[in-house]
Amino acid sequence: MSGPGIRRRGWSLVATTSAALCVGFAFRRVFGTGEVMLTAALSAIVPTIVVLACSGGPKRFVTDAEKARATRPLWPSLVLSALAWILVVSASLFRDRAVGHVLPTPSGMRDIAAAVVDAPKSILTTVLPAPTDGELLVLVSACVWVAALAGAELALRTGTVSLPALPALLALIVPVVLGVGGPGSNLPVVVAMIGAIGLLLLIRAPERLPPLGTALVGVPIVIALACVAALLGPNLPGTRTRRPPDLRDLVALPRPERLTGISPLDRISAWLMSPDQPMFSVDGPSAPDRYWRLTVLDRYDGSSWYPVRNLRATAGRVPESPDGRPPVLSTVVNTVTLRDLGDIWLPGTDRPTEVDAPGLRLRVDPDSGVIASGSGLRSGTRYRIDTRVPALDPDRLQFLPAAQDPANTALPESDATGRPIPALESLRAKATVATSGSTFPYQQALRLAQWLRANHRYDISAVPGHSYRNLQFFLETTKEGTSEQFATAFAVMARTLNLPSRVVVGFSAGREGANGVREVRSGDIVAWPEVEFEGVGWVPFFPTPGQATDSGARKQAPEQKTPATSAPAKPVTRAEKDREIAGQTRSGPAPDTATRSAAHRDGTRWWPFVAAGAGTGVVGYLAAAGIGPVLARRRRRRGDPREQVIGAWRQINDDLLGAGLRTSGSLTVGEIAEYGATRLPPEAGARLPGLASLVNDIAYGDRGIEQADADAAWRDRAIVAGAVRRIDGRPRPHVRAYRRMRPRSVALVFRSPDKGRE
Amino acid sequence: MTQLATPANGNQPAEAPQFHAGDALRLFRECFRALGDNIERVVVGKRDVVDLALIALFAEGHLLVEDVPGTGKTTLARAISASIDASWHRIQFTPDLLPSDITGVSMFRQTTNTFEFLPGPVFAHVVIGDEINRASPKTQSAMLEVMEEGRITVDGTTHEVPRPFIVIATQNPVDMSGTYPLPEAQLDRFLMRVTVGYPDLASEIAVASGAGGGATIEGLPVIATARHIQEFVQVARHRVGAAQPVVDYAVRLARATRENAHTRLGAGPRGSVALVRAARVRAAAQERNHILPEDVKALARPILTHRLLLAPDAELGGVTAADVLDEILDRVPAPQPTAAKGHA
Repeated sequence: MSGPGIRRRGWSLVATTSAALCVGFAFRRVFGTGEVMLTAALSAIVPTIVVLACSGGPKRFVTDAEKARATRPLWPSLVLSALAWILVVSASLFRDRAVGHVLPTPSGMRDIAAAVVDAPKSILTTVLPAPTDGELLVLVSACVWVAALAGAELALRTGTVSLPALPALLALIVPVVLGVGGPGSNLPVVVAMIGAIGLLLLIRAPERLPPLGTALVGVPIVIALACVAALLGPNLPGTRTRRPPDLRDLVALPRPERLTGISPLDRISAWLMSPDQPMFSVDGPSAPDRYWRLTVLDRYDGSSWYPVRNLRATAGRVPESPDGRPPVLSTVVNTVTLRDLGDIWLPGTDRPTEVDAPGLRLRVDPDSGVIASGSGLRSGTRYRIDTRVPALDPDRLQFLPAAQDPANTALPESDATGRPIPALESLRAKATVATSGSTFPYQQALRLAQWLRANHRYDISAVPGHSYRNLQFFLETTKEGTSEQFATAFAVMARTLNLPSRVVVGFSAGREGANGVREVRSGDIVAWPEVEFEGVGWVPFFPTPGQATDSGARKQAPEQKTPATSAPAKPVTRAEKDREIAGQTRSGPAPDTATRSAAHRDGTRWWPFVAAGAGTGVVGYLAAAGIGPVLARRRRRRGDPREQVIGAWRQINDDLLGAGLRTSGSLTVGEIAEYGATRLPPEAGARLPGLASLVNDIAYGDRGIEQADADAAWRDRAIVAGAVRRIDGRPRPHVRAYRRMRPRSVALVFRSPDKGRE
Repeated sequence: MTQLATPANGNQPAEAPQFHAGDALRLFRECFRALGDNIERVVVGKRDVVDLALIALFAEGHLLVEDVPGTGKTTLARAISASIDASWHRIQFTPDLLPSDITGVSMFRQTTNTFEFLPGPVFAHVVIGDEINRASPKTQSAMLEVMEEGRITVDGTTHEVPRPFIVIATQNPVDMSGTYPLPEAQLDRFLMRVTVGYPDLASEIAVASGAGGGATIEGLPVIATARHIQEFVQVARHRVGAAQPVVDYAVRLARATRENAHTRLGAGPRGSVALVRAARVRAAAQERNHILPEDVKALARPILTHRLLLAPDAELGGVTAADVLDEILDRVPAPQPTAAKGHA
């Protein structure tokens, strides 16, 4: 029988089960570690037991005929595995639909089948980590089960060394693809999979060492490989900067179930006119200068701005912004209680990281961080929101280029009849005038906001609307508006300057009550624009001048109430710094030192890891060259007497290399013996022709060999080795070291004894 | 009595060998050695060439002896024939020799009113072809069929030559004027080509002084009969095994001659077959029942060299076929011993 022995095949089930468990472990980016491991463990162990029972556990065969009789057919194993899987899934993931919480009903089986089919798309339309529903976890079970079943069958039925690892490797593709963008890293999975495959190879590799020796040599090698992978994997060039392909980009998202069709931007005037309507209350730390975001509007058709529509289901996690990650100023946790807000948009902050809203089917736009409910909002709903407040540093922002984002610089240039829109040219001309003398995008945006604040007044009774015509009327005629006009005018004018912009609708911080809870009312509604910068993402600007509050007092302009003002260590606020930057006059673009230093910080220093990898390789090679001869000598002394005699001859060949024997491989046994006889002292050289004759008889004839012959051969070898060490003219140490270190020599000592030296 | 020995007197062989399972190879070795000793009495100091000639004899191959005049080419051929109690003929190849002078002719006999075939000199166990390159190509080609197949077709009738059958041809590579070099097809039909060479000083003195009793070809005792030789041929062919790695080695050597940059034409499959066949004889001559890579390597030069046709560049560069073969032998890996067996 070829391949690994019966016992080794049985033991390799441990490795295939481990590899299948790694597949389940890989789903941790999709569901979270704790949620999948129980399912994965069940799905890895049960099919292995079924295979062991159905495919005939390891048996020792004497003849091929007995083997043929003892090999059981495959189909019972497959049928029983399928039944067992349905039973396990029904009793674990679909308990509530099973008879006695165990047995599946016909409709339950249909649900299971439908869940397997639908789970991939459901996961792809969900922000990870996905909810741990049975309908989704069934995919984990199916993948792990198939990997364990196929791996175990291959391990028991074939003699190949590495083939049983193939099912797990193929199944691993599923969680890796589905887990793109999920929290955590695939690195532990890769390391674990390397370990499992290494274990499989150790168990099933051809026997060259006793089991203990295999373990002593192999386990450190496998661990070293896993460590090298763990160290080098995440630091390979490009792995940090390149975004892996994500199937989510190709999947069509389901539309939100309830949308009122009214943009929050259109409701600003109405809410301002009835300012005392309670919208929501906020419990927890909340600075008076923080704004609550309701939604983001990023598409403009010349008459309206439209909110984001890339809403994905989420269990609460809000992924990081793909546009950039500014430094974090602080992390805040708040509890929000909804009042009369309605619609689907949940008040959030910039940038939320986690939302815990029991009873709500949450949706999130990964780009903007906007949170929505899939089923509308009711008064009294409470949820917790975790926020990572970004620190926006004007010193850095002032030299950053605008992001290359054509979708957010697009403006309709012509009307429905194809004629150019004259209002657009007017807006562009005003934007150019407002920002004249600016040298960098940030300064442009600041001057644009400053120009709007300086030349226009805030008036809640202004005409609502934000079409081109409305904006032109606002800028040229009335010069009065609410934050709706200020924000949208800024956004459109910024786009005419090729600055990517969008509009955000939200609320100011509200009024703090006696119990520390801030009450946010309809009069706190506010809109503001944001501009996108390279490497930082979206930065808010506040072009609306001081506005009337519900109490009749005048609030400070929003631009003076930015998150940066809460930084205690900053002696200068962002608003003060912004005024300074807006007022600066430069002759030309300043050196982009900030950008360069940022790039330097983000750059991947790959050379230490390449050096570490190369060092590991060199050390491993030297170790192999060092222990190789020892392993080879031990290997050659094992086996039947024939193998021992051949082993002694091979050892003599290696010894004679030290006496100047050339290693071209074209020398026959007789020629090598002849060389040794002329090169060595007579007491050693005279033994070689007889031994060569014995070797030739063994290799090409049918001479019977006794153990005594093998012992005599190794005695001859010892004499030859001693003679080689004593002879004059032996190659110098560096020549011997060179010969031993050659790749060919290292490869030869690890080669199987039956393959011969070529 | 199963021992072969050189008879002290008379030209008759001592006794026909009685083959048993255990002693066939021993008898082969003794016969081989006795023949070698016998021939060496007249071809002094050339034991290696004598052994190669005997290998060709027992391998049922043909021998081309190439050397300058006076080195004992014809003596070697005649000594072989004299050592065997078998028919032999000598053909002196000349430009005017006709094919029918070799093969024989059909003559009309008036007394019986039928055509009668008169066999030519090629109908003998040992045929000595002296200076074969002096015959016309037409005459040389008449040797092709008989050398390869051991039969001749005259007037539509096929005539078998006696077995064993060996052609020992000689040629002089120096005095080439008026000669017709043997074509490749015919060279390929010689199992091996050997060069006798001048004897060393001691041997030449011994020859000149008549040492060794002044043995003459005519006085050589007969060592074996044709039947002996034929039976020993079968011993070498059927009692000597060839392990697969050794056969592979022979084939790789032959293939390497075809793939060498210096050769325009290398040894064909007939070359590798000849190599294994001759190696079996060499193994039997050493009382071995299996061939070794050493056998293949030792016979590669005489068996393969004459089958190589060098590329023009190599010839202009002074490269010889022997140089090419030496390079191939030095480059092609020899099989290394393993505990696994595999016989062809």
